[in-house]
Amino acid sequence: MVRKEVIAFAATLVLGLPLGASAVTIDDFSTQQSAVINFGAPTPQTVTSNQAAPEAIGGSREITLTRHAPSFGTASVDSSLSDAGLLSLSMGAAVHADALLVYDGSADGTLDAGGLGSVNLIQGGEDTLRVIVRSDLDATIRIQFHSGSVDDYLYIEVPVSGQGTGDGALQVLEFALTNGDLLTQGAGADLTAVGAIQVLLFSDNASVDLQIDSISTVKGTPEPVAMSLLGLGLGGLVVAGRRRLA
Amino acid sequence: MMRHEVFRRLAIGAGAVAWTLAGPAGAVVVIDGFDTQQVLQIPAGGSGAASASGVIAAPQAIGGERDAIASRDMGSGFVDLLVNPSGTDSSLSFALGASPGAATIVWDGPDGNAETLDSDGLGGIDLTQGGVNTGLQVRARSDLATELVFTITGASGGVSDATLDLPAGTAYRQLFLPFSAFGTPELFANAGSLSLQIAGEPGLDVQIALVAAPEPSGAGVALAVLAALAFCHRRRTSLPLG
Repeated sequence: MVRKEVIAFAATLVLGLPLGASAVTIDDFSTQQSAVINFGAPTPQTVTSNQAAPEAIGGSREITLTRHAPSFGTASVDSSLSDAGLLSLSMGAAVHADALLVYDGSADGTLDAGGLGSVNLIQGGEDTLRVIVRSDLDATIRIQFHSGSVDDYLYIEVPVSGQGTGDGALQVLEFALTNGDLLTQGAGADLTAVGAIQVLLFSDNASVDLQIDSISTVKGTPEPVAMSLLGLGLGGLVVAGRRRLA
Repeated sequence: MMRHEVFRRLAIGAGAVAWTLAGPAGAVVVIDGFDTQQVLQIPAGGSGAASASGVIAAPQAIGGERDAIASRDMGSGFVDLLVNPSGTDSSLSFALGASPGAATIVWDGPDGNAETLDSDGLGGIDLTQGGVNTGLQVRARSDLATELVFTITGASGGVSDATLDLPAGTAYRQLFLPFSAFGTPELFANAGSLSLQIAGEPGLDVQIALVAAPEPSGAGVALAVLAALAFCHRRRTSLPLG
Protein backbone atom coordinates (compact mmCIF):
# COMPACT_ATOMS: atom_id res chain seq x y z
CA MET A 1 0.00 0.00 0.00
CA VAL A 2 2.78 2.34 0.92
CA ARG A 3 4.39 1.53 -2.39
CA LYS A 4 1.26 2.71 -4.25
CA GLU A 5 1.32 6.01 -2.39
CA VAL A 6 4.92 6.49 -3.29
CA ILE A 7 4.15 5.77 -6.91
CA ALA A 8 1.23 8.21 -6.90
CA PHE A 9 3.35 10.88 -5.29
CA ALA A 10 6.14 10.29 -7.75
CA ALA A 11 3.63 10.55 -10.58
CA THR A 12 2.48 13.87 -9.21
CA LEU A 13 6.00 15.12 -9.22
CA VAL A 14 6.82 13.78 -12.63
CA LEU A 15 3.63 14.95 -14.33
CA GLY A 16 2.99 18.15 -12.48
CA LEU A 17 6.13 19.82 -11.33
CA PRO A 18 8.61 19.65 -14.20
CA LEU A 19 6.40 21.90 -16.29
CA GLY A 20 8.35 25.03 -17.01
CA ALA A 21 11.60 23.52 -15.85
CA SER A 22 13.23 23.79 -19.27
CA ALA A 23 13.83 27.42 -20.14
CA VAL A 24 15.68 29.73 -22.48
CA THR A 25 16.35 32.98 -20.69
CA ILE A 26 16.06 36.11 -22.77
CA ASP A 27 16.99 38.36 -19.86
CA ASP A 28 16.87 38.21 -16.07
CA PHE A 29 18.32 41.68 -15.54
CA SER A 30 21.15 40.93 -13.13
CA THR A 31 23.66 43.28 -14.76
CA GLN A 32 23.46 46.93 -13.73
CA GLN A 33 22.56 49.40 -16.44
CA SER A 34 20.59 52.63 -16.59
CA ALA A 35 19.22 55.31 -18.87
CA VAL A 36 17.75 58.47 -17.36
CA ILE A 37 16.07 61.56 -18.73
CA ASN A 38 15.99 64.26 -16.08
CA PHE A 39 13.38 66.98 -15.94
CA GLY A 40 13.74 69.55 -18.66
CA ALA A 41 12.15 71.13 -21.66
CA PRO A 42 8.86 69.47 -22.63
CA THR A 43 10.16 68.38 -25.99
CA PRO A 44 10.76 64.76 -27.00
CA GLN A 45 13.92 63.40 -25.45
CA THR A 46 15.76 60.15 -26.07
CA VAL A 47 18.71 58.54 -24.34
CA THR A 48 20.40 55.23 -24.99
CA SER A 49 22.53 52.83 -23.03
CA ASN A 50 24.25 49.94 -24.76
CA GLN A 51 26.43 47.51 -22.89
CA ALA A 52 27.45 43.93 -22.26
CA ALA A 53 25.02 41.92 -20.16
CA PRO A 54 26.24 38.34 -19.83
CA GLU A 55 22.91 37.07 -18.50
CA ALA A 56 20.98 38.38 -21.49
CA ILE A 57 20.58 36.42 -24.68
CA GLY A 58 23.41 37.38 -27.02
CA GLY A 59 25.44 38.78 -24.11
CA SER A 60 24.41 42.41 -24.50
CA ARG A 61 21.48 44.71 -23.91
CA GLU A 62 20.68 47.93 -25.77
CA ILE A 63 18.24 50.30 -24.08
CA THR A 64 16.54 53.29 -25.67
CA LEU A 65 14.40 55.46 -23.40
CA THR A 66 12.09 58.04 -24.96
CA ARG A 67 10.13 60.69 -23.13
CA HIS A 68 7.29 62.15 -25.15
CA ALA A 69 6.15 65.77 -25.32
CA PRO A 70 4.87 67.60 -23.39
CA SER A 71 6.30 65.64 -20.47
CA PHE A 72 9.02 67.35 -18.47
CA GLY A 73 9.55 65.19 -15.36
CA THR A 74 12.05 62.42 -14.89
CA ALA A 75 11.88 59.16 -16.81
CA SER A 76 14.27 56.36 -16.08
CA VAL A 77 14.87 52.75 -16.91
CA ASP A 78 17.45 50.64 -15.16
CA SER A 79 18.49 47.09 -14.63
CA SER A 80 19.41 45.98 -11.11
CA LEU A 81 19.92 49.53 -9.83
CA SER A 82 16.59 50.53 -8.34
CA ASP A 83 15.93 46.93 -7.39
CA ALA A 84 18.40 44.07 -7.68
CA GLY A 85 17.45 41.58 -10.36
CA LEU A 86 14.69 43.72 -11.82
CA LEU A 87 14.33 46.02 -14.78
CA SER A 88 12.60 49.18 -13.53
CA LEU A 89 10.84 51.61 -15.83
CA SER A 90 9.74 54.71 -13.91
CA MET A 91 7.93 57.78 -15.17
CA GLY A 92 7.46 60.92 -13.12
CA ALA A 93 4.15 62.64 -12.59
CA ALA A 94 2.32 63.16 -15.89
CA VAL A 95 5.30 61.81 -17.82
CA HIS A 96 4.71 59.70 -20.93
CA ALA A 97 7.66 57.53 -21.88
CA ASP A 98 8.54 54.18 -23.40
CA ALA A 99 11.57 51.95 -23.36
CA LEU A 100 13.00 49.67 -26.03
CA LEU A 101 15.32 46.79 -25.20
CA VAL A 102 17.25 45.18 -28.04
CA TYR A 103 19.04 41.85 -27.94
CA ASP A 104 21.03 41.30 -31.10
CA GLY A 105 24.41 40.11 -29.89
CA SER A 106 26.07 43.52 -29.96
CA ALA A 107 26.03 46.81 -28.09
CA ASP A 108 26.43 49.13 -31.03
CA GLY A 109 23.02 50.77 -30.78
CA THR A 110 21.66 49.52 -34.08
CA LEU A 111 19.34 46.61 -34.75
CA ASP A 112 21.11 43.69 -36.41
CA ALA A 113 18.20 41.37 -37.18
CA GLY A 114 20.57 38.43 -37.55
CA GLY A 115 23.03 39.37 -34.86
CA LEU A 116 22.18 36.51 -32.51
CA GLY A 117 23.11 34.05 -35.24
CA SER A 118 20.36 31.48 -35.24
CA VAL A 119 19.14 30.91 -31.73
CA ASN A 120 16.59 28.15 -31.19
CA LEU A 121 14.21 29.47 -28.54
CA ILE A 122 12.25 26.22 -28.45
CA GLN A 123 15.08 23.75 -28.62
CA GLY A 124 14.06 21.97 -25.44
CA GLY A 125 10.40 21.85 -26.33
CA GLU A 126 9.66 25.25 -24.85
CA ASP A 127 6.27 26.37 -26.09
CA THR A 128 5.46 29.18 -23.71
CA LEU A 129 6.69 32.73 -23.33
CA ARG A 130 6.92 33.70 -19.69
CA VAL A 131 7.19 37.27 -18.44
CA ILE A 132 7.38 37.95 -14.70
CA VAL A 133 6.31 41.54 -14.15
CA ARG A 134 4.43 44.07 -12.05
CA SER A 135 3.13 47.56 -12.75
CA ASP A 136 1.22 50.23 -10.88
CA LEU A 137 -0.85 51.13 -13.96
CA ASP A 138 -1.92 49.25 -17.07
CA ALA A 139 0.91 48.87 -19.57
CA THR A 140 1.93 46.70 -22.48
CA ILE A 141 5.07 44.76 -23.27
CA ARG A 142 5.59 44.03 -26.94
CA ILE A 143 8.13 41.35 -27.75
CA GLN A 144 9.36 40.89 -31.32
CA PHE A 145 11.33 37.95 -32.69
CA HIS A 146 13.34 38.52 -35.86
CA SER A 147 15.06 35.98 -38.08
CA GLY A 148 17.38 38.10 -40.18
CA SER A 149 14.92 40.72 -41.38
CA VAL A 150 14.17 43.98 -39.62
CA ASP A 151 10.78 44.26 -41.27
CA ASP A 152 9.62 40.68 -40.82
CA TYR A 153 8.99 39.29 -37.38
CA LEU A 154 6.71 37.46 -35.01
CA TYR A 155 5.45 39.43 -32.06
CA ILE A 156 3.26 39.28 -29.02
CA GLU A 157 1.76 42.10 -26.99
CA VAL A 158 1.67 41.20 -23.34
CA PRO A 159 -0.94 43.21 -21.41
CA VAL A 160 0.19 44.03 -17.90
CA SER A 161 -2.63 44.90 -15.54
CA GLY A 162 -1.98 47.81 -13.22
CA GLN A 163 -2.08 46.74 -9.61
CA GLY A 164 -2.77 50.15 -8.14
CA THR A 165 0.35 49.91 -6.06
CA GLY A 166 4.01 50.38 -6.73
CA ASP A 167 5.23 47.36 -4.84
CA GLY A 168 2.66 44.69 -5.59
CA ALA A 169 3.39 41.03 -6.11
CA LEU A 170 5.18 40.00 -9.26
CA GLN A 171 2.79 38.44 -11.77
CA VAL A 172 3.72 35.46 -13.88
CA LEU A 173 2.27 35.99 -17.36
CA GLU A 174 2.46 33.15 -19.86
CA PHE A 175 1.57 32.94 -23.53
CA ALA A 176 1.67 30.10 -26.00
CA LEU A 177 4.37 30.36 -28.63
CA THR A 178 2.67 27.85 -30.90
CA ASN A 179 -1.10 28.19 -30.93
CA GLY A 180 -1.75 31.68 -32.17
CA ASP A 181 -0.76 34.03 -29.36
CA LEU A 182 2.08 35.16 -31.62
CA LEU A 183 1.18 37.59 -34.39
CA THR A 184 2.96 37.90 -37.70
CA GLN A 185 4.41 40.96 -39.34
CA GLY A 186 5.47 40.55 -42.95
CA ALA A 187 6.96 37.12 -43.47
CA GLY A 188 7.20 36.52 -39.76
CA ALA A 189 10.16 34.73 -38.22
CA ASP A 190 11.38 31.29 -37.25
CA LEU A 191 11.58 30.65 -33.50
CA THR A 192 14.17 27.97 -34.15
CA ALA A 193 16.41 30.53 -35.86
CA VAL A 194 16.04 33.83 -34.06
CA GLY A 195 18.47 36.58 -34.97
CA ALA A 196 17.27 39.41 -32.75
CA ILE A 197 14.70 40.15 -30.08
CA GLN A 198 13.18 43.53 -29.31
CA VAL A 199 11.16 44.30 -26.21
CA LEU A 200 9.11 47.52 -26.13
CA LEU A 201 7.55 48.74 -22.89
CA PHE A 202 4.79 51.30 -23.37
CA SER A 203 1.45 52.51 -22.11
CA ASP A 204 -1.35 54.92 -22.88
CA ASN A 205 -1.03 56.02 -19.26
CA ALA A 206 1.36 58.60 -17.94
CA SER A 207 3.22 58.02 -14.69
CA VAL A 208 3.67 54.28 -15.22
CA ASP A 209 6.08 52.42 -12.97
CA LEU A 210 6.76 48.92 -14.20
CA GLN A 211 9.25 46.24 -13.21
CA ILE A 212 10.25 43.05 -15.01
CA ASP A 213 11.90 40.17 -13.22
CA SER A 214 12.62 38.07 -16.28
CA ILE A 215 11.62 37.14 -19.80
CA SER A 216 12.07 33.56 -20.94
CA THR A 217 10.66 30.74 -22.97
CA VAL A 218 9.64 27.73 -20.93
CA LYS A 219 8.35 24.27 -21.56
CA GLY A 220 4.65 23.56 -21.68
CA THR A 221 2.67 25.45 -19.13
CA PRO A 222 -0.87 25.52 -20.31
CA GLU A 223 -2.21 26.05 -16.81
CA PRO A 224 -5.35 23.88 -17.06
CA VAL A 225 -3.31 20.86 -18.10
CA ALA A 226 -0.76 21.42 -15.39
CA MET A 227 -3.44 21.78 -12.76
CA SER A 228 -5.37 18.74 -13.97
CA LEU A 229 -2.22 16.62 -13.87
CA LEU A 230 -1.51 17.86 -10.40
CA GLY A 231 -5.12 17.12 -9.48
CA LEU A 232 -4.87 13.60 -10.86
CA GLY A 233 -1.78 12.97 -8.80
CA LEU A 234 -3.34 14.34 -5.64
CA GLY A 235 -6.51 12.35 -6.36
CA GLY A 236 -4.41 9.25 -6.58
CA LEU A 237 -2.92 10.02 -3.22
CA VAL A 238 -6.39 10.43 -1.69
CA VAL A 239 -7.62 7.15 -3.17
CA ALA A 240 -4.54 5.36 -1.98
CA GLY A 241 -5.01 6.85 1.49
CA ARG A 242 -8.65 5.74 1.64
CA ARG A 243 -7.80 2.24 0.52
CA ARG A 244 -5.18 2.08 3.22
CA LEU A 245 -7.65 3.17 5.91
CA ALA A 246 -10.26 0.72 4.67
CA MET B 1 -32.50 87.35 -31.94
CA MET B 2 -33.94 84.01 -30.89
CA ARG B 3 -35.46 83.74 -27.44
CA HIS B 4 -33.01 81.05 -26.24
CA GLU B 5 -30.09 83.20 -27.37
CA VAL B 6 -31.33 86.12 -25.29
CA PHE B 7 -31.74 83.79 -22.35
CA ARG B 8 -28.23 82.42 -22.83
CA ARG B 9 -26.67 85.88 -22.94
CA LEU B 10 -28.55 86.92 -19.84
CA ALA B 11 -27.36 83.80 -18.05
CA ILE B 12 -23.77 84.42 -19.07
CA GLY B 13 -23.97 88.02 -17.90
CA ALA B 14 -25.49 87.02 -14.60
CA GLY B 15 -22.89 84.31 -14.25
CA ALA B 16 -20.05 86.72 -14.81
CA VAL B 17 -21.41 89.07 -12.18
CA ALA B 18 -21.99 86.27 -9.70
CA TRP B 19 -18.55 84.79 -10.40
CA THR B 20 -16.95 88.16 -9.80
CA LEU B 21 -18.81 88.57 -6.54
CA ALA B 22 -18.18 85.04 -5.39
CA GLY B 23 -14.64 84.59 -6.60
CA PRO B 24 -11.50 86.55 -5.88
CA ALA B 25 -13.40 89.36 -4.19
CA GLY B 26 -14.52 86.89 -1.53
CA ALA B 27 -12.55 85.63 1.44
CA VAL B 28 -10.49 83.06 -0.43
CA VAL B 29 -6.97 82.68 0.94
CA VAL B 30 -4.63 81.08 -1.57
CA ILE B 31 -2.07 79.03 0.33
CA ASP B 32 -0.14 78.25 -2.86
CA GLY B 33 -1.00 78.32 -6.54
CA PHE B 34 2.39 76.75 -7.37
CA ASP B 35 3.38 79.38 -9.90
CA THR B 36 6.92 80.00 -8.70
CA GLN B 37 9.31 77.47 -10.18
CA GLN B 38 11.12 75.23 -7.74
CA VAL B 39 13.03 72.06 -8.53
CA LEU B 40 14.28 69.40 -6.15
CA GLN B 41 15.61 66.12 -7.43
CA ILE B 42 17.20 63.02 -6.06
CA PRO B 43 18.54 61.28 -9.15
CA ALA B 44 18.23 57.57 -9.74
CA GLY B 45 21.24 55.67 -8.57
CA GLY B 46 23.25 55.81 -5.42
CA SER B 47 21.91 53.71 -2.63
CA GLY B 48 19.72 54.11 0.39
CA ALA B 49 18.17 57.09 2.11
CA ALA B 50 18.75 60.51 0.58
CA SER B 51 17.15 63.93 0.74
CA ALA B 52 17.15 67.31 -0.95
CA SER B 53 15.70 70.57 0.29
CA GLY B 54 15.21 74.08 -0.97
CA VAL B 55 13.72 77.46 -0.18
CA ILE B 56 12.31 79.86 -2.69
CA ALA B 57 10.63 83.23 -2.54
CA ALA B 58 7.10 82.64 -3.77
CA PRO B 59 5.11 85.85 -3.78
CA GLN B 60 1.86 84.10 -4.60
CA ALA B 61 2.22 81.67 -1.69
CA ILE B 62 1.10 82.45 1.81
CA GLY B 63 3.97 83.98 3.78
CA GLY B 64 5.84 84.75 0.56
CA GLU B 65 8.12 81.74 0.72
CA ARG B 66 7.86 78.03 0.06
CA ASP B 67 10.10 75.49 1.75
CA ALA B 68 10.35 72.03 0.22
CA ILE B 69 12.01 68.79 1.20
CA ALA B 70 12.15 65.63 -0.91
CA SER B 71 13.41 62.38 0.49
CA ARG B 72 14.01 58.79 -0.48
CA ASP B 73 13.56 56.24 2.26
CA MET B 74 15.59 53.45 0.68
CA GLY B 75 16.65 51.95 -2.63
CA SER B 76 17.95 53.78 -5.66
CA GLY B 77 14.91 55.16 -7.44
CA PHE B 78 14.63 58.81 -8.36
CA VAL B 79 12.57 61.41 -6.52
CA ASP B 80 11.15 64.48 -8.29
CA LEU B 81 9.64 67.43 -6.46
CA LEU B 82 8.96 69.96 -9.19
CA VAL B 83 6.91 73.12 -9.04
CA ASN B 84 5.99 74.57 -12.41
CA PRO B 85 9.26 73.40 -13.99
CA SER B 86 8.15 74.22 -17.51
CA GLY B 87 6.99 77.70 -16.55
CA THR B 88 3.59 77.00 -18.09
CA ASP B 89 2.10 74.44 -15.71
CA SER B 90 1.27 75.95 -12.33
CA SER B 91 1.33 72.80 -10.27
CA LEU B 92 3.48 70.78 -7.94
CA SER B 93 4.59 67.36 -9.14
CA PHE B 94 5.87 64.77 -6.72
CA ALA B 95 7.09 61.57 -8.32
CA LEU B 96 8.81 58.51 -6.98
CA GLY B 97 10.71 56.03 -9.11
CA ALA B 98 11.15 52.51 -7.83
CA SER B 99 11.73 53.53 -4.22
CA PRO B 100 9.52 54.82 -1.40
CA GLY B 101 9.91 58.43 -0.38
CA ALA B 102 8.24 61.58 0.87
CA ALA B 103 7.72 65.25 0.13
CA THR B 104 7.17 68.02 2.61
CA ILE B 105 6.02 71.50 1.65
CA VAL B 106 6.14 74.16 4.34
CA TRP B 107 4.68 77.65 4.40
CA ASP B 108 6.18 79.28 7.46
CA GLY B 109 7.12 82.76 6.31
CA PRO B 110 10.40 84.14 5.00
CA ASP B 111 12.83 82.32 7.28
CA GLY B 112 15.08 81.11 4.47
CA ASN B 113 15.33 77.72 6.10
CA ALA B 114 13.74 74.54 4.84
CA GLU B 115 15.11 72.30 7.52
CA THR B 116 13.74 74.11 10.56
CA LEU B 117 10.10 74.95 11.06
CA ASP B 118 9.36 78.52 12.09
CA SER B 119 6.17 77.69 13.95
CA ASP B 120 4.99 81.32 14.14
CA GLY B 121 6.49 82.47 10.85
CA LEU B 122 3.12 83.40 9.34
CA GLY B 123 2.58 85.80 12.24
CA GLY B 124 -0.92 84.71 13.23
CA ILE B 125 -2.69 85.09 9.91
CA ASP B 126 -6.40 84.28 10.06
CA LEU B 127 -7.02 81.58 7.47
CA THR B 128 -10.67 81.48 8.49
CA GLN B 129 -11.11 85.15 7.51
CA GLY B 130 -13.17 85.88 10.57
CA GLY B 131 -14.76 82.47 10.64
CA VAL B 132 -16.02 82.59 7.04
CA ASN B 133 -13.66 79.98 5.62
CA THR B 134 -14.23 76.52 6.98
CA GLY B 135 -11.56 74.36 5.46
CA LEU B 136 -8.78 73.73 2.98
CA GLN B 137 -9.51 73.18 -0.67
CA VAL B 138 -7.04 71.10 -2.67
CA ARG B 139 -7.01 70.47 -6.41
CA ALA B 140 -4.96 67.36 -7.03
CA ARG B 141 -4.59 64.04 -8.79
CA SER B 142 -2.50 60.94 -8.25
CA ASP B 143 -1.85 57.71 -10.11
CA LEU B 144 -2.01 55.75 -6.86
CA ALA B 145 -4.27 56.34 -3.90
CA THR B 146 -2.41 58.31 -1.29
CA GLU B 147 -2.81 60.67 1.64
CA LEU B 148 -2.08 64.36 2.00
CA VAL B 149 -1.27 65.22 5.59
CA PHE B 150 -1.65 68.85 6.61
CA THR B 151 -0.17 70.20 9.82
CA ILE B 152 -1.03 73.59 11.30
CA THR B 153 0.82 75.35 14.07
CA GLY B 154 -0.58 78.29 15.97
CA ALA B 155 1.37 81.53 16.22
CA SER B 156 0.78 81.36 19.94
CA GLY B 157 1.60 77.69 20.17
CA GLY B 158 -0.19 74.47 19.49
CA VAL B 159 -0.04 72.00 16.62
CA SER B 160 -2.64 69.87 14.91
CA ASP B 161 -2.86 67.73 11.81
CA ALA B 162 -5.40 66.04 9.59
CA THR B 163 -5.31 63.72 6.61
CA LEU B 164 -6.94 64.17 3.25
CA ASP B 165 -7.43 61.01 1.19
CA LEU B 166 -6.53 61.42 -2.46
CA PRO B 167 -8.00 58.59 -4.57
CA ALA B 168 -6.21 57.30 -7.64
CA GLY B 169 -7.22 58.78 -10.96
CA THR B 170 -6.04 60.65 -14.00
CA ALA B 171 -8.35 63.66 -13.63
CA TYR B 172 -7.86 66.46 -11.16
CA ARG B 173 -10.16 66.32 -8.13
CA GLN B 174 -11.44 69.13 -5.97
CA LEU B 175 -11.02 67.96 -2.40
CA PHE B 176 -12.07 69.69 0.78
CA LEU B 177 -10.59 69.20 4.23
CA PRO B 178 -12.67 70.97 6.87
CA PHE B 179 -10.84 72.75 9.65
CA SER B 180 -13.01 70.71 11.98
CA ALA B 181 -11.07 67.60 10.91
CA PHE B 182 -8.11 68.99 12.82
CA GLY B 183 -7.95 68.35 16.54
CA THR B 184 -7.51 72.05 17.24
CA PRO B 185 -9.29 73.89 14.43
CA GLU B 186 -9.01 77.27 16.16
CA LEU B 187 -5.32 77.31 15.20
CA PHE B 188 -6.42 78.34 11.71
CA ALA B 189 -7.59 81.68 13.08
CA ASN B 190 -4.09 82.43 14.35
CA ALA B 191 -1.83 80.43 12.04
CA GLY B 192 1.89 80.30 12.53
CA SER B 193 2.74 77.78 9.81
CA LEU B 194 1.12 75.26 7.54
CA SER B 195 2.81 72.23 6.08
CA LEU B 196 1.85 69.42 3.72
CA GLN B 197 3.42 66.00 3.73
CA ILE B 198 3.02 63.24 1.17
CA ALA B 199 4.61 59.90 1.97
CA GLY B 200 4.51 57.45 -0.86
CA GLU B 201 5.19 53.97 -2.03
CA PRO B 202 7.35 53.28 -5.09
CA GLY B 203 5.83 54.63 -8.27
CA LEU B 204 3.67 57.30 -6.65
CA ASP B 205 3.02 60.26 -8.94
CA VAL B 206 1.05 63.17 -7.51
CA GLN B 207 0.18 66.58 -8.93
CA ILE B 208 -1.29 69.42 -6.87
CA ALA B 209 -2.52 72.53 -8.63
CA LEU B 210 -3.93 74.53 -5.73
CA VAL B 211 -4.14 74.67 -1.98
CA ALA B 212 -6.50 77.34 -0.67
CA ALA B 213 -8.87 78.21 2.12
CA PRO B 214 -11.99 79.12 0.17
CA GLU B 215 -15.15 80.85 1.23
CA PRO B 216 -17.72 78.00 1.09
CA SER B 217 -20.65 80.21 0.14
CA GLY B 218 -18.68 81.78 -2.66
CA ALA B 219 -17.71 78.41 -4.00
CA GLY B 220 -21.32 77.32 -3.79
CA VAL B 221 -22.59 80.31 -5.74
CA ALA B 222 -19.89 79.82 -8.35
CA LEU B 223 -20.80 76.15 -8.77
CA ALA B 224 -24.47 77.01 -9.05
CA VAL B 225 -23.72 79.53 -11.78
CA LEU B 226 -21.61 77.01 -13.65
CA ALA B 227 -24.45 74.49 -13.43
CA ALA B 228 -26.88 77.10 -14.79
CA LEU B 229 -24.58 77.86 -17.70
CA ALA B 230 -24.24 74.16 -18.48
CA PHE B 231 -28.04 73.81 -18.43
CA CYS B 232 -28.41 76.76 -20.81
CA HIS B 233 -25.82 75.27 -23.11
CA ARG B 234 -27.67 71.96 -23.22
CA ARG B 235 -30.95 73.69 -24.00
CA ARG B 236 -29.29 75.64 -26.77
CA THR B 237 -27.67 72.63 -28.39
CA SER B 238 -30.85 70.56 -28.12
CA LEU B 239 -33.01 73.14 -29.88
CA PRO B 240 -33.58 72.70 -33.62
CA LEU B 241 -31.50 74.88 -35.92
CA GLY B 242 -33.05 78.05 -37.20
